[in-house]
Amino acid sequence: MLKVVNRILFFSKIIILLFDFSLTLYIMLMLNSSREGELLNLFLTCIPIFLTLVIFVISFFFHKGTDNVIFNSCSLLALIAIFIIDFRTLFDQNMVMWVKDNINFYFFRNNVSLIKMLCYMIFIGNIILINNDYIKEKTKVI
Amino acid sequence: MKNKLEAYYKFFIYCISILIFIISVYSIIINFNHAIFLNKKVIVSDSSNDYKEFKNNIVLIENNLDVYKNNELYNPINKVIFLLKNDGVFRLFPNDELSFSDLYYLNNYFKKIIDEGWFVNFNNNSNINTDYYNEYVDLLVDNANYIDKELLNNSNYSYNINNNIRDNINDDYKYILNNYNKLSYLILEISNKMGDKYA
Repeated sequence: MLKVVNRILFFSKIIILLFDFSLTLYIMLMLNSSREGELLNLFLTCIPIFLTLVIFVISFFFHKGTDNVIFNSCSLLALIAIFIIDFRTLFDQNMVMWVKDNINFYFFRNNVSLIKMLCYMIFIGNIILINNDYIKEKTKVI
Repeated sequence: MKNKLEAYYKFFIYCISILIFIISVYSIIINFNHAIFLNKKVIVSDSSNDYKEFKNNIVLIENNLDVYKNNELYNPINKVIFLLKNDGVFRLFPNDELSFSDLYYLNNYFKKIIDEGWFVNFNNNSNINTDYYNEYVDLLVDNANYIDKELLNNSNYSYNINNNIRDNINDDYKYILNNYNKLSYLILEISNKMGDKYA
């Protein structure tokens, strides 16, 4: 039962992360095209999300670091929070700055640090989980 | 040794999980709170007198224009009146329910009227003190910029969420209507002077 829940959580994590990655990349590209000198920011913002995506793919293919329900549900919550931020940046028409540019860069900039922080935390947590599984496997072999 | 390492890892994972949980739940709650806050349409308090004055002024200016059609200021004033009588503005002003984005639209439109409609370079031969009027218009634009900042602050993500939204929208609405009113008085005065000259 726990395994099934873990699988569901893991797949929903990957799907939402793909959405997050594409939306963030789109917002950063629009930001780059509308204002000059933001190219460095584009890479700095997208790197943590990309790293998280890579670590998810690694744990998916090697079947490691996917069996912690608490961590899985917490990181799913974090990815949903990032998705809400991206969604509001693009579609919340009630925000004053949205009316100006049709994308609320101001709101996004306020939340970029939060997005980066959450992604790095998920990334580090995943690395620890993979390492933990690796150690467990080794002790079983011995 | 390996068991100890595993225990450390587990402890670390739980710490990170709790941290992620707290931050993301806080972010989600704040976002929903903010979205609901901005989505509210507020019934603005009765400022119908200001609105009546504004409408009255426009009628008076139009009457002046009808009488002095061959004047050199006829076209620029007509343009300002045309911009002031925009459907969007008249749809929002008498309407009592407004949100922050409506106010932003009204304020931005005011700046557009000044940019497109204001007749800075009118004929110097006319008996009108252009410097005085231009300074006054600059003052109105400053007011509009100030309201812009106010609106931004009031709808900001991390600011004022717990403040009374009704007060904020009411104050900003009064400011904006006042600005429109002042502009209409200014144009009325100019059109009256123009009338004196050509009477």
